[in-house]
Amino acid sequence: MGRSQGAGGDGGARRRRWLTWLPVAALLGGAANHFWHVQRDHLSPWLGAGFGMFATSDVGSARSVHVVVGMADGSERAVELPGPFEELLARARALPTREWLGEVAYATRRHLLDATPDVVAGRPLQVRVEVWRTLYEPGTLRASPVRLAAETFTVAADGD
Amino acid sequence: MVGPSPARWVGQLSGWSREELGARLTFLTLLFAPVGDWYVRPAVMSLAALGLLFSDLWRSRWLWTVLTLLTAVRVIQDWPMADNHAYLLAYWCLAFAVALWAGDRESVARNARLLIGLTFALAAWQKGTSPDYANDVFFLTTFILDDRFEDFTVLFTSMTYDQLDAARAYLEADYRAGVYPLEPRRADAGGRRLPRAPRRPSGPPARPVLAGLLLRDLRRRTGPELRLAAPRDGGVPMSRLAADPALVPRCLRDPGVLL
Repeated sequence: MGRSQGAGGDGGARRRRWLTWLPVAALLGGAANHFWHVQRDHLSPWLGAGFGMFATSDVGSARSVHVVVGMADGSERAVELPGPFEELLARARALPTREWLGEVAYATRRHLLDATPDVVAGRPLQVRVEVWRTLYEPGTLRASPVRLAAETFTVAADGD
Repeated sequence: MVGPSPARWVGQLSGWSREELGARLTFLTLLFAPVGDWYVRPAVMSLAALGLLFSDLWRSRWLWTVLTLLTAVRVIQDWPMADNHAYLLAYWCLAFAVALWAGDRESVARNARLLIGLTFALAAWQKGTSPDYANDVFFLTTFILDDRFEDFTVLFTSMTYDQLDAARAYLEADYRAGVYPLEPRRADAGGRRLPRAPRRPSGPPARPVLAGLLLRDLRRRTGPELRLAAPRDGGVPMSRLAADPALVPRCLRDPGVLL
């Protein structure tokens, strides 16, 4: 509005020049997002658009997901999800946010409905999902587990 | 002579601009190292093949825009599991797309330099600030636990494959030792009730397998007077090693220093 043709042309050229910085901005933005998730959500430094590959022993295989289901009688049972859920477990291990742990909780209900329908059908399930990491002591390499995240979900009978 | 001579190939290459060469090499990469899921992959391969078949197609801003979107879809779908080169591939396709949209092909070279430089700078910074990297824990655990380094470890250290297996059993032993509130490896699919895990015992755990293998191997080679040297304490007597197998990884750190 009110700009001359030349000024508009300059503005267009400037916008185009800025456009060419988009890849670098994407790399820096991705890296910033990575660091934010590493600090806040325990994202594995190996993953998520950062550059921590081969920088730390905090790799997916050094993490584990533990699922514990609370039963109606107050007891707890550990559940190991089978192969088809491996991809989901890998994501929960890598980025143990409440969202991914919730997905694991729902997957647990689906699995238990298939495996032991008489135990869980029609009842809400209390599912605790934990993600642990193995820390190795410098010098001795003595391993010790550290809990990164733990969330408890009540999965309704209809899965909601 | 059948086919073009190497000199002709070089001549043809020298006729290409660096942007064209980069674009064609990227097409080759996308064609022979395809990326993505079953529905992303065919599209990426087809576009890369078209880019190679039609000599001017590498100048198409739409081709690079679609390639950028496809490679981005792949990393978004896989979040957070995509390898880091998957992100870099998307940034690189984006560099071509924006250069062509902006009519500034020179920016491809600038972006290439910046992407490579920033990648290495950030990787170096992340390694430098990682405690595991500085205190050797990363290297020791990686060389022992990572299958990809198995042959390397056997070739460049005195460890044997059996010792590697024993070392892995040692390092992963805590997973099986029941230090978690519940022991998942002993759970079945139906949710069998599990006992409470015992508390972690104080002092070094008894893990004789690795120590036994090492001692047997070393005694056979050097006799009973052998001491394994740990750099900071001037040597670990065999008796202490046998009593405290947790010392073994320290000795593995410098297997060439044997007293």
